[in-house]
Amino acid sequence: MTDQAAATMKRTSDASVKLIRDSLDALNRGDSQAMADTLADDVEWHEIGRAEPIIGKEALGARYMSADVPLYEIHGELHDVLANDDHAIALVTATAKMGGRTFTYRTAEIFHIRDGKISARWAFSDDTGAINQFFGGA
Amino acid sequence: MTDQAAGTMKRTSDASLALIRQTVSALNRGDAQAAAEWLADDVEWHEIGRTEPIVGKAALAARYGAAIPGWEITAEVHDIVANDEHAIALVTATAGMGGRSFTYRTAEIFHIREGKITARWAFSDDTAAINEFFAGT
Repeated sequence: MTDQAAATMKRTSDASVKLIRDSLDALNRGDSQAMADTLADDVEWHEIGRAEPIIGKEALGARYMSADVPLYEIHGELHDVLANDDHAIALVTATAKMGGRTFTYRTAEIFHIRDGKISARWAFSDDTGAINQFFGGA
Repeated sequence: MTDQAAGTMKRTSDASLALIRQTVSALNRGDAQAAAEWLADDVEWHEIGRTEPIVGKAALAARYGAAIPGWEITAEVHDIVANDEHAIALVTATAGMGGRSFTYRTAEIFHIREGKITARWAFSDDTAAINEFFAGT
């Protein structure tokens, strides 16, 4: 691969890394509109503990952004983001608060990115049982 | 960033990609010796379902070389991404043990130093199912 081709690929992955950083920043400051702007309209959002993904920005918004009182708060601390042409993966330490309880866990957030938007997301962790126990049906 | 700098960074991550592919390939063909060559002597190996990592190449070889008879895992690499700090392989693994078979997905997260794997973590979307399958091993 030539240096020029490598640079082109690097710019593509840099754009993905920035998109993921922007999305997490928006989540952390509670800016639901800015976060929604990083998502494709038909985004496929897979969550730990749910067999089926949430499909579409509208459905995702209804789950996370429309409630008068949020189900829970999550703050994500980004450890690293890696990307190539097919995937972006963020290593995140998340702290969730719900019903007076606090829980910290680690995830690998795996994304597909299409035309500068997140088109799919999966979350992997080293202890999904503990995550499911904390969120218990939320 | 200059094209040259991007090229240098790309070559660094390419080396990590090759290292992970060679390690997975060695494990898939059951060549523990070849896989061991890609591990640092003081490798820290974190497994799903274990609170403490296995530390050191010798301890890891003892665990996988002899301790778990009849246990086979074949890993299909979906993709690998790498930068200067981490390499992450997205893997679909199929494990066979005691006549049972189980397929699951992991993100295999590695630290690499001087061309060797120095640490590994495995994350998945259902670690409870993985723990249940491997219970007692």
